[in-house]
Amino acid sequence: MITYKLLAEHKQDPVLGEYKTYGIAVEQEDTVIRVIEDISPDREKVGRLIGLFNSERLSPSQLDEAVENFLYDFEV
Amino acid sequence: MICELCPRKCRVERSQERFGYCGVGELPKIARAALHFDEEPPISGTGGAGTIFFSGCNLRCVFCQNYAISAEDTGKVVTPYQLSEEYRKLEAIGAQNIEFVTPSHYIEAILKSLEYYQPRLPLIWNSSGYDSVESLRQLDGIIDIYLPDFKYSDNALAKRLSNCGDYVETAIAAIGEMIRQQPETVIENGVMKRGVIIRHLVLPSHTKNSIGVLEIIKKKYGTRAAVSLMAQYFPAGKAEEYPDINRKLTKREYHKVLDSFFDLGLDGFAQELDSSDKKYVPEWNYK
Repeated sequence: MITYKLLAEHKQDPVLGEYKTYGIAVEQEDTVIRVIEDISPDREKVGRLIGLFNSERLSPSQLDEAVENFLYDFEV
Repeated sequence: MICELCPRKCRVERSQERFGYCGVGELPKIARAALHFDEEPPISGTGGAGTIFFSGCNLRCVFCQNYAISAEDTGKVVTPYQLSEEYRKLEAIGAQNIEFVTPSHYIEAILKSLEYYQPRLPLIWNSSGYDSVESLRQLDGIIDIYLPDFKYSDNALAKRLSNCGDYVETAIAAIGEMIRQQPETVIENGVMKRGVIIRHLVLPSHTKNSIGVLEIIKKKYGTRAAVSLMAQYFPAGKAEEYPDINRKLTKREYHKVLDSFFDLGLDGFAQELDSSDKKYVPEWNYK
């Protein structure tokens, strides 16, 4: 079974200092099979995106396209 | 002067004491006049662009990286004759060109200054893109290189972030006029002599806006102008009041726009993503 989870990372920026950015980890049977890092610093939006992927049972083969669509207008 | 120089057409009688929407009076106010090496390679060349930063602006971009001069009181008022003297000085120290930055509200003063002294260098008009066609026609045969911004493909976003609800159609017309005046790009020994480069600064959370800009450029102008895709955004001015732009670009956002740039077959330049730090803000030290 495929599960999408929130991935949080800390980044260091010379101007802004430390900040958090969020990506997606794809798990299959408790094993991470794919990671897409640094999608957006907006935790709430990435969280909603993940919720949608899980509720719609998105196939991992469509993940890249789904993330690209999100990055176009940042709407979930 | 009842001012209708820019599309705002605020009709204020600009003088030493009365300021237009641009925030400045009739006489030019300069924040900096110096060699600038951080422009696109054919603009800076090896000698540097002879850049004159004017104070004031006809936009109100909340994220302005030059906020100290666009919206605050930094700079020194000069006469058109004194402005022309700056051209001589920049020529003397090896400038590749004379570059007017944010000049739209000073067209008349600049034209007057060129009567005193005509530099033997290309003249560059580096503007926000919010120029009136009527005013630009006064520059026909005078400006060699146009370097306009094309900031928005979405007027609602333009209104929200730059207080400019008619930006898109105004910039399309203005850039069309610029390309009409300078339809060919001429570069000699790596230095641009004539033509148009359209700049676009990618804003965080607004890749759709950026891709829309690139699509408009391709549709309206083809490859008659080069495009300079800029990744140097950092939160400045009042950006902290706008959560969507109160951060820097992510790699994915920028690369998404960059992919469109290549897919559309546009010509031009693209900054590296690590361009987004404050080294691109000059020191406002004109005396």
